[in-house]
Amino acid sequence: MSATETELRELSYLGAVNEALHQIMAEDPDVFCAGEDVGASGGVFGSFGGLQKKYGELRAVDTPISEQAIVGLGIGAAVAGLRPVVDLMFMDFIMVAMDQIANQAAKLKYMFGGKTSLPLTITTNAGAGLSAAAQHSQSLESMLAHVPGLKVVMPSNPYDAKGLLVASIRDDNPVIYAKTKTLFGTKGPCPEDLFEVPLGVANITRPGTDATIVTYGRMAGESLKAASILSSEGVDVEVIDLRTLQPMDSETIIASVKRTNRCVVVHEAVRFAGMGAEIAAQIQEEAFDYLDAPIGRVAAPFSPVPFSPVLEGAYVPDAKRIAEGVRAAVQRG
Amino acid sequence: MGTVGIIANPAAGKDIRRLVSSASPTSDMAKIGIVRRAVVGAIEGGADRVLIADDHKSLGRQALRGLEYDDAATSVEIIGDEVHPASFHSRRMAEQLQELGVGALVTLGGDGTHRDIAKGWRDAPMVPVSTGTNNVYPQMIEATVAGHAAAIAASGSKPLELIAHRAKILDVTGEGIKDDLALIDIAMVEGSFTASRAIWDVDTLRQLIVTTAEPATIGLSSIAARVAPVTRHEFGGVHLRFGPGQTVRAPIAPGLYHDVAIASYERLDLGQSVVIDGPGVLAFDGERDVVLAPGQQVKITLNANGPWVIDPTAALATG
Amino acid sequence: MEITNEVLKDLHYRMIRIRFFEEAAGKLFENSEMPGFLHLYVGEEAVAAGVCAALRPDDQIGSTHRGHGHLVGKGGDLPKMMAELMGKADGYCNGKGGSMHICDLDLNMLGANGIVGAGAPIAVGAAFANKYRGNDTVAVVFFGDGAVNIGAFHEAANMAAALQLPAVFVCENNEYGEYTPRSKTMAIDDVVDRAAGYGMPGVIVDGMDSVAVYEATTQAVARARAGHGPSFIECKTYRYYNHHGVQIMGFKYRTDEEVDMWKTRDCIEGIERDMLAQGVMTQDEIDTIRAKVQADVDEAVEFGRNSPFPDVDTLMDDVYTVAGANS
Repeated sequence: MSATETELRELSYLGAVNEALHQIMAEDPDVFCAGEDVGASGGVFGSFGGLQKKYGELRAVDTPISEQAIVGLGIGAAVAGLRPVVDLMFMDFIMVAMDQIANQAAKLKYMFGGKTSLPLTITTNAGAGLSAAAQHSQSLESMLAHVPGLKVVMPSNPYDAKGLLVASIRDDNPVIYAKTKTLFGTKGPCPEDLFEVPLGVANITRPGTDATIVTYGRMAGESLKAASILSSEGVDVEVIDLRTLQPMDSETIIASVKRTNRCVVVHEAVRFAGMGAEIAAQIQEEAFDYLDAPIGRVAAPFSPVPFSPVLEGAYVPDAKRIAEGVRAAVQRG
Repeated sequence: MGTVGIIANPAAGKDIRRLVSSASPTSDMAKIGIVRRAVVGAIEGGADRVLIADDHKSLGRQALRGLEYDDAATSVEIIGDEVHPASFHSRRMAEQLQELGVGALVTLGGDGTHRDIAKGWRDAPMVPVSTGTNNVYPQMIEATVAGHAAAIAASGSKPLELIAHRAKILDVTGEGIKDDLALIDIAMVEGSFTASRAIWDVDTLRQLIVTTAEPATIGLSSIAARVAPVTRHEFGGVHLRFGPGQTVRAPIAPGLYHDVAIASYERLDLGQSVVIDGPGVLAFDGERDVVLAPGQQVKITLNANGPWVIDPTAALATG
Repeated sequence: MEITNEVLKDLHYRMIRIRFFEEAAGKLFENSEMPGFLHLYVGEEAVAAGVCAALRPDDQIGSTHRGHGHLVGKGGDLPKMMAELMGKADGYCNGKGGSMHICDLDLNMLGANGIVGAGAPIAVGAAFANKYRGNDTVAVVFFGDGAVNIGAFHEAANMAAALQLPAVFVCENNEYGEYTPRSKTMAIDDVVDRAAGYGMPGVIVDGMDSVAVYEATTQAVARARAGHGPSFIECKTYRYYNHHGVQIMGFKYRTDEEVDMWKTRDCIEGIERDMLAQGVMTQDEIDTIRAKVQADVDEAVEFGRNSPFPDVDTLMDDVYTVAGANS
């Protein structure tokens, strides 16, 4: 962020989402929001607050608890020319609607020979840390990023939350916009105007020379904390916040690793077949000769998200574990 | 004592009038419940045999599922080797039940269903239970009581003449069509197709002949009831021609009233005939069924030798 | 309502087009000129014809894996359809979709769908868009008896009723889910019995009678246009050919007698017999229409044959509306 941006007023992550929705609905009459509790109550987390009061029941729609029909509502309306934002309350619930997302939304354009576009945004809420247990805490982004036709966005701060949501809604493709629940209350600078953070462009949130951390979502903040710890140890870490997982800004990753020669990928999702596997593979394909150490991965263990705070605390990576991961990469070779 | 037969029309209560009027749907689950209650009533009423006509949905078999009764006292059977999905089913089942010595029927359906049954067994003693749409012939009655009344009639303990009346009937004959009949009304409507069969568009009506025109019923016969009422018990019918003249308002389907212009009407005596010329479609008891080509002619005769309609109140009366 | 001679001729024309197109597709398939899966609509033409004839061009239809008839019924271009079924570049979807994904959004045909029941939520979304825009356009969704046992269908039907959307649910009950009779998969016989549970009116019509289907659809569509919400029409119909392809291979899941019984009620023979009897069309006029449609279909087959296969360079086209994703 530039100096002027740091002087911006502060807004919470959730407030930024809500402001983006209010502003884009004012701008574009084709945008509407639909989902469970989205209307009168403004969403269980408040992200849709005030929309129904301002824009009416047809633009902030309370739906049945019918994940497939909620996504289908968005698909059909998008094919018919509207620009829907449909909400699946928890990322776990995406699994209930996976046919409509993966077999329908993602593929219609291709199967129809390009004869349609699908300006659909599916908002959802990811991540552990609330003792919400195994069905309300998952980070399933790698499953979604695996499906051609979808875009996947995971903002890590209020500025990105607003700018990425605006870009997602304006995008003519189906976009999964996954907020992180534990970030809702975090505050940060955010412009009042309607603005976009372009999809597919990563953000180097901390430049560094000794190693690159590639991360996104909640782990972007934890990685910055880890970088501070490491800085006191004389290790200068570069942190890349991907912001968008599909399309992925591979160029920024590769360029950084070519400079630092070491890389650790960090995410909250489980390690096996997570985004880290894809990122590590791309780095070895494009920058094998630049690497001074194996690419490290810091991620959740291969288990469901546990309920008890003690277990959950051990499950989710934090700055300490990230720092350990980077040390292992730096100490080698 | 006595054998009760049960015929349920699996198709009744689901036609287009659920869209064009406020008719309620009758689900199969509702029909299964009705059959079951009629069986219970028949057993309680003393029937020693209950024969249920099979149908392609096995409504009867489902009705008997888990039903407990003393099978030494009553035998309950599903009959019918020939299961046919069309309206022919009700007719064929009525024939078979007559051949098997049934004393009285419990019949489930609307006017159309009962027309089919009468085609199979013209003078069947029956308790007609309404599960159709425009129901003049069958009446709203609880099936338990209907089964009970049928059992009493089947036992022969009370003379049929004391507990039942003979329904009026319209006999139809003509070149190029099979002999046919209706229990309540025959309408001549414009057009050349039977399509979705039910009638709700009064603009297509040309003529109407009714056996019964009771003010407190619905359907086409209710139009006649506005100008020339005749009860099911009276001898005589009515013949209407539609066109500019007297306008009446009548409920031609459940919850659906229309203004209808009547050009003329005449009362019919028993045995009197009306001749109708094509082209057009003849609707029997509310359903378009026979297409008449230009020049084709049919003769419709009012008679009083239809089914015996059992009055449950009379049948169940003590003393 | 009046069924004019024009309506009768229109229904007949739509059914003939579907039948002849499908018969030709079946021959190409058996002749190995058509790749993939082929679900033929032969036998059920009265449903697509009766429904589509009752619609306006701006009304949308959602379709199924057995969707050719719906697109032809809505006015689909036969050469483009045939080319698509053959996987050719000039096909409706440039050879990317094939039989199960054929669509024409200009005709507001929202696409065939390879997932049973999945078309319903999408059509309901289109119905929502109609209500949102405040126009009186109606979305119709076709589905089979198999689809009503899928969660997505229930969700969509309930959603349409809950939000009072201008939708019409048209069930093509052909008595079989692939090779399993409906009686093995449902405890009720009439799919329409569920309509009341969703809170919408439901009717049964003879799905072998295009006039009956037309009449019921006209009423349901009028209801939807007027803002009175969705309706449910169950059409009792039958497919003459196999679930997939033409001839039954392997497991014989239905009797010849049953198939023959339904063929005695054939929708095209029926309307031709009635139109001849009523003097709506002469045999010569019917023969002329049949010959014209056959010529159109033959031309479509030749168009498909002559169309090139897609350039392999197009493989990655249209994954996204604007390129930018990783490959």
